[in-house]
Amino acid sequence: MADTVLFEFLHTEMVAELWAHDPDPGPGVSAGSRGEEVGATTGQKMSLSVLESMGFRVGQALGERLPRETLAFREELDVLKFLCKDLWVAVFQKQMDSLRTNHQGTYVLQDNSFPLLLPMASGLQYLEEAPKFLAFTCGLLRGALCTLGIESVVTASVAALPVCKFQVLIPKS
Amino acid sequence: MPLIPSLWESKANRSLEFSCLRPALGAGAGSCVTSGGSRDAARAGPPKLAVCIAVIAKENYPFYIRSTPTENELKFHYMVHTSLDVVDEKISAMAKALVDQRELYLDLLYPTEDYKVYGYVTNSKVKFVMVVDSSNTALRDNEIRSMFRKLHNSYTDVMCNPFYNPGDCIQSRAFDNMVTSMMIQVC
Repeated sequence: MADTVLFEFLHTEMVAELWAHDPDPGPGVSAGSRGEEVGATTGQKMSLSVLESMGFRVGQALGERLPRETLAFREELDVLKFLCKDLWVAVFQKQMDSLRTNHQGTYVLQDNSFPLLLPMASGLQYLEEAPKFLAFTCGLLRGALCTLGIESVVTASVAALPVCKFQVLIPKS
Repeated sequence: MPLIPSLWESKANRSLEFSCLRPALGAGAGSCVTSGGSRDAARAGPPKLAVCIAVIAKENYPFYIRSTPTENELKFHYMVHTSLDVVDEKISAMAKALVDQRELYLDLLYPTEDYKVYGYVTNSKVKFVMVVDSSNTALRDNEIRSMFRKLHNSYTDVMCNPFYNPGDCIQSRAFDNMVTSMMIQVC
């Protein structure tokens, strides 16, 4: 029963630890109209990509371990359905609430009560802080897709906590 | 069959040239385990094991290939390479088939006069190819399936190992030991 919160606590600590507070810009960074802001965003982008790459490696391993007993996937949509059902249940103990696609390689996965955002707020408070808590999960989705043979770009957006949307873009080859 | 320890060590060392890079320490441990495993197999009865085992990535390069060091190993490498065509054929045939379910186990790929080649593909498009001696008629289908399942489980463990970068050659000793336990023991 305590298992679910263990991951949530670990994730919260990870974000807190890796989040760059240093506003100094790195060498070679062009100054924007407000220098400090540019530095802050560069550092924050690094942290986001570090979190995302952590999620990516975990996703790669999960993508190998979870589908072991399932039969081979026929097409992309099957893989996405697997992500929404089996992967989400394994990591967050619930299924994804909705999956939409335009059949052109764009998929929108919506979770109406994302467990990592649930304890924070329910509404518009902390909206600016929410994206960094989604970076790891974006990487997780990308890593799992990569192991299953699909190169993709995953982004996340929050309109109001705890509802969040993950957008998966699969470029047509 | 009586074991000759010195013969085993020389065989284990020869297989190093053809398998992926292993640290010298690992080689010593590997040869010890090889002899231990074969002793167990000899006690269990006639060996029902593979002659060559290969793990191929989805880009069709080998992560891991290991064969009994008695014969020309190049022949086994070549056999595995040609079997990849058959694997691709089977996968695309299954994709076109109207059957709802797709199996991971690919069954017999092709028989030659000396050997039979079996295949298995995972959901992540990693292929396992196993070459078995044709004279080993006692080897049944479900035994082959269980061997592939063991391979798949060990491969998954390797993937989850934080020291392993996906795409590298498999250097895990645990995986080596598991494969050794499945290879035919030749004295």
